[in-house]
Amino acid sequence: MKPGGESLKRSLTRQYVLLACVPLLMVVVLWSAVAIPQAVRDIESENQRTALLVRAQVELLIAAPSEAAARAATHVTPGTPEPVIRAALSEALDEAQSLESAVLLDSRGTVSIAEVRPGTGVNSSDWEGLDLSHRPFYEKARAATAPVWSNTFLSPLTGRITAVVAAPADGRIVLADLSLDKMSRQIHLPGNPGDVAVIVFDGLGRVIVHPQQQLASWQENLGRTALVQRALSGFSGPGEIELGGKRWLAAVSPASTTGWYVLVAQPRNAMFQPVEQLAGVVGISVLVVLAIVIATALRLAQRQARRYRRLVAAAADLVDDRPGEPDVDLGSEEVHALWAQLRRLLDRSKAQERAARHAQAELQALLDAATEVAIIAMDSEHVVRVFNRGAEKMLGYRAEEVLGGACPLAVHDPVELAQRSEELSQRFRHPVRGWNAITAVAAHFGYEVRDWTYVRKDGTRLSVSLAVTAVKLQLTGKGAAPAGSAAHDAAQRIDEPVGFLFVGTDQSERERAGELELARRRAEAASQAKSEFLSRVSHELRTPMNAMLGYAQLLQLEDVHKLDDFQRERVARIEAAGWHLVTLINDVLDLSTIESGNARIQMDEIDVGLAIGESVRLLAPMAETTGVSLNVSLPPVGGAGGDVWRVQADSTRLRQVLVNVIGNAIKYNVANGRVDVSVHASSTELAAGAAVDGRSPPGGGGAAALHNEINDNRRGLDPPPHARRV
Amino acid sequence: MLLLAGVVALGGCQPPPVRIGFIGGLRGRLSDLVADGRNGAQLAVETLNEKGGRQRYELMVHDDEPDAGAIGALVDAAADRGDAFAVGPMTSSLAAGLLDEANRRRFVMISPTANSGALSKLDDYLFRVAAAAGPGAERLAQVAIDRGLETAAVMMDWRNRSYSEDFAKAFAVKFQALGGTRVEYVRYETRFDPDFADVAAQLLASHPKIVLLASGSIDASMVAQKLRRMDPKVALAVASWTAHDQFLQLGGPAVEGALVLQPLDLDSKAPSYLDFLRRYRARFGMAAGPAAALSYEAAMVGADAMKKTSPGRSLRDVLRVPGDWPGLQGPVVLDRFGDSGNRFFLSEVRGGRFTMLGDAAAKESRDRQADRP
Repeated sequence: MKPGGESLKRSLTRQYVLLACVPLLMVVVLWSAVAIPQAVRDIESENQRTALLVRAQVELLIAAPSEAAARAATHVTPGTPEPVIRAALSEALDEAQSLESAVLLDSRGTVSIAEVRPGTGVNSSDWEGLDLSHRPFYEKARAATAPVWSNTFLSPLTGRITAVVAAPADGRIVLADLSLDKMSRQIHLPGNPGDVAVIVFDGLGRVIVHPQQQLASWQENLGRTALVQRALSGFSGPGEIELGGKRWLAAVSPASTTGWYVLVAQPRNAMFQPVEQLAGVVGISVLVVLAIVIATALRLAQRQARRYRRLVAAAADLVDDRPGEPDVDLGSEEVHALWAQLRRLLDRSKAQERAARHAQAELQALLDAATEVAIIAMDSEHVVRVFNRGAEKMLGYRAEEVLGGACPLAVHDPVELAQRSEELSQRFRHPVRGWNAITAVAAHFGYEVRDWTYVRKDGTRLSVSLAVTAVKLQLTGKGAAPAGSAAHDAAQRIDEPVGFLFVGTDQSERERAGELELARRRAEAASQAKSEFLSRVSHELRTPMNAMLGYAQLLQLEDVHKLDDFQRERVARIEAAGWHLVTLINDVLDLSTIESGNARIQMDEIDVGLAIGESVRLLAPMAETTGVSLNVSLPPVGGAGGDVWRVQADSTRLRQVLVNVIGNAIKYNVANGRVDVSVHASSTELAAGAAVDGRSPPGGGGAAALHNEINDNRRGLDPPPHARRV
Repeated sequence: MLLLAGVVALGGCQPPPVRIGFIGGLRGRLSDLVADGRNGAQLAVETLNEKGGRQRYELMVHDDEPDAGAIGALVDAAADRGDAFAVGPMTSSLAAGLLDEANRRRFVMISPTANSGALSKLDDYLFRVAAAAGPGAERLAQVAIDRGLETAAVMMDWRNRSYSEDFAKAFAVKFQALGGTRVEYVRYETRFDPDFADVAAQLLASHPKIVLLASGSIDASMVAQKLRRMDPKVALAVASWTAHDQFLQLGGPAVEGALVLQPLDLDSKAPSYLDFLRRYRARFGMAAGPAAALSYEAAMVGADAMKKTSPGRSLRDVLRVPGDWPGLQGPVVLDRFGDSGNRFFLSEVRGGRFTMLGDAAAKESRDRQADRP
């Protein structure tokens, strides 16, 4: 559908006017077809009539001289005295005023007697004696039995163009010289001389009479014109002739007896005069009718256009969601139907528009939700069509800065881009520059995932994993077009990417996590090495300790070489210290075991009091050495455990804990201080405590768990006294 | 509309027609010569147009009948109207009268017949295709002496004084130089309706053996008739100006035996000349006289020279370069003054027609042409 165009009013007006003009035009054409040929025929008839009329005049004009010469000739007889003949010749001049002279030729063609009209500038003596026997007309005159006319010639006496009539006179000839000027003046031209031209020409086509008598005097010759040539050939009639640079409609008629011809002509444009007169009337009528037609057409067109303008206004209201007129008068059933269809179309269009807008919003929201992923879409001209919030965040550009414009190539590291260009140029064997360095692979293979370095708006750099996907139109239809066909070419064009989708993922976090993992693994390896070292060292230490303890026990059990008490006491202490060292070694082993993740807890039902007693006995020497009193308080068992405090625990670990805690309480106590070890049960647990300076920890015992509480009065701990709960 | 525009555009591409003027007296006693000249120029223009080409030619005829005081108006009218050049004038006196105005207006005139010696060797705007009158007159003197005609009388048409006087003097000088004993001069003025019987009587007063008539054909024929009636034996000789059929028709038996100078070889078999004669008769219904042929040549020389003009090289510049131009009986030779060579022939009236005086005379004429400076 063509956009724009002229208005409906103008179009309808033109159509109405054209419709009205067709009959007018037909009338004018028909009238022209009838009137113009008729005008030509009228002019030709008029010319013919005029030619006949003028010919009659010419014949009358030349009849008089001819008759005068003939009458004079009758007076010429053998023996007629000269005066009589002179009188006859004079009488001829009197009878025909167009004659200038009348002479008698003797039998040899010499002028014997001449009479000349006074005032012509010629004397009788000029004529007399002239030998005219060599004149072209002489032989014709001699053979004639009646007066004959000559063609025109230059008069030797007057120096003017003239013609003569020769009448036979008893073996001699009476010759009368005609004044063509006089004859021309005597021809009565019908109508305006400017409208009708009468030309008389002789048998050679030389002009005798002409509206411009000068042309006659100039011996103008019309022999070149077709009409005159035809007339000279004996075929007179109407035709066209060019005179004075104008075309004339002419008719030629021969003037009998003279051998001359009468040509009557009217300017060719004269035939349009009646046509023009009638054309004036017709023109005015046509103008009036045309004015009425235009006015009517304008009103009709206005009415029609108004209806369509209402239709347009209603459609505009609908498009802009304005209320508009409830009932629009659209004039005709067809326009109403058009409006109904238009309305359906608009409703459907608006629904589709809403759906599209919603889908667009959803898509945009979806894209914007990906705040950690840069999504950029670009068409084949590298104009940015999509720039999501993730891209904004990643690159530092706002969407409105880049949407609709060429995507700045500066977002890519130029060095990296140059390297990639070089690489792809070698690969594809043709230069790959600019954006093509990023999209070329995707254009060929559909997609490419590659790490790139983005340069943010602020100049900082960002490592991204960029997935470039070529966007292509999907062809629908059966089969593939044959190669070389237009359809195939079109398919190839369609197979070309119409744009590219860039999805960039920030690689910074991933790289940082990798570094941390590596550090962790290194630390773990170091820890493992340390644990392994400790384990090996502990193992190596325990082996000699076993020997030492074994021998210490053997010393105590020696029966042959019994030890005294002092020695036994010392050996006992060695053994105790050895066992303590073993315990320390075990602790180190436990620590290494725990650190290496190989610690094992073996839960059994054990007696807490026994564990405390063993621990206290183990630490008693240390307490004794440091002057710290060590008191154990085991309240009676009130629960279901019977006589002992039985709990579910790993006995080894519990003893380790008790030795460590009580040992620390001793080690870091004040001089002469006190460490109280107690056990009490709560409702849910059993507590064992060590009270420092006799202060007991709060709480009671329980059946399900044990609280072992150790109170001390260590210097390094802030009051209230440190309490360790196991 | 497109078609109309195309037609208009094509019409617009048509160069304006070249207007060729014609200056000559088409009325009066000399009009036979001039009408022949007009017809010859007319045929030349029609020939140029028939040859095709986009360039059209028009012949613009000027009458030389204005008052003597306004004679320069002929040149002004032609120059003002934009005529490229003019063929004419046909008489030497008119040419002499127009010369100053033509030089002032820088308007080129190419005369077919003006051959007065007074117009020779002038650096002017007049170019002439006819040979100068003097050598022809001298040739007549030679023939008269050869025939034993030792006394002569010369009639001069004082209206064309420039030619008549020059012709008469050339004849007399040569005639007397060759042994002629006496030359009498009689002059008359055609405009005053002369009594030719009286003129004839004056000519015969000294009883000349030969009468030389330096006038137009009509006057010469009329005088010849009078002379014959008074002295049937007197020999007649006429200038080339008189070489016209009218002389034969009006003179009749009275001009039998007259020596007539011809500017062209009437017996020439040159194809272009024969073609010209044929086309002239077909066009005008009569035989072409020498004046018509010379006028045809003058128009053709001018049109041919027009084609060689260029900005900065006028028609006069082209014509002033000595050289040959196309003619009906061979090249028309113009020198740097625009004067033609000694091209004339001698004929005698025999049996009512001009008879060329044998091959020897023609050869002599051709030899003279070959010996031209």
